[in-house]
Amino acid sequence: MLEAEVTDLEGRGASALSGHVRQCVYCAGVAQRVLDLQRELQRMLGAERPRTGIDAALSRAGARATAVRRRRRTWQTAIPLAAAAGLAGILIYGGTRSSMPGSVWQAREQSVAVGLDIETPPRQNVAVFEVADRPDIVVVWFYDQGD
Amino acid sequence: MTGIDLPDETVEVLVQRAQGGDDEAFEALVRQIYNRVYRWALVQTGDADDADDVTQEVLFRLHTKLRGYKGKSRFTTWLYQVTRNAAYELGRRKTTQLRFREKLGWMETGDSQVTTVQARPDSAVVAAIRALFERLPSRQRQIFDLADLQGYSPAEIGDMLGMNPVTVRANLCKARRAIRSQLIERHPQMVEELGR
Repeated sequence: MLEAEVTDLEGRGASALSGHVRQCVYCAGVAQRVLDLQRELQRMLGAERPRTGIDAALSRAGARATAVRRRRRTWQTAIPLAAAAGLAGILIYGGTRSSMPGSVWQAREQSVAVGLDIETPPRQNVAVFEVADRPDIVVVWFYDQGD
Repeated sequence: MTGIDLPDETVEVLVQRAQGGDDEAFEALVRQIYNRVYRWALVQTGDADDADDVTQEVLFRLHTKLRGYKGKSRFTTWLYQVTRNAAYELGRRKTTQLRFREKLGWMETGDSQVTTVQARPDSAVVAAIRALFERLPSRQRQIFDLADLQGYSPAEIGDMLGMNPVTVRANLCKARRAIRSQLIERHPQMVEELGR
């Protein structure tokens, strides 16, 4: 009886216990007490009510949902904008090189032509540096076109 | 017996209309389920304030997630899972275990229901069964409530709790045994009166 189904306690089942409950007045009484107490528990739990009234709860939940939707819409607009701005930044500033230390002078075509005859390897560029206080020194720097 | 006062078909119709953006249907649906969700939350959390918070959270989630309900399970099953998740997350946020008040009759005092119960001749036994119910482990408490008090089948409860129906039955038997045996042990007069 301790683990019996409600239908068995009520004597409505087909089990041996159910049959016994139908015949034994004492056990039927115990079963009935158990059922009464369970119904009482059910009644007590069913009578519990939330402290927040339903109208207040509805309006609060609605307002919160609206705020969340609005925030979500803001993000949905802001994220593509931010991505576009970032991409634009990369396109505009991404190609610049950080400046090298010292004074760099890109040899003009004319000076190269005058003083030096430089043949650039395939897919490379060349930069020619003159040293200010050593006019007898010229630095020739080959670099990949991708640099 | 279903867990919701309206027939399932009516609830499903309300759900469909609410999913289509019908505010009146949504409100009608909430009015049908509000107390039920609170009761579920109360059994799950064991605390009236927490249950209130969980109920508010479920209402909010209904607003935002109802469109996600595909009708693969009964609405009550889906709703119970939403409630359960909200209760779980609240518990995790608060990093507290289920809190139960030890003293009997922890319902709001001044409630007319309490007065009614206390006026009954076997109010001590009634209070005792509630205390025993509250002391059950959370899973057993939920299963006992759904099965023996609300009339859901083990298969339905299995869907609600994400458990095998066999496990549901095992937990249900444990819960029944715990409540009924302790009731008879602590309140033998409950049975003795019958022998007079």
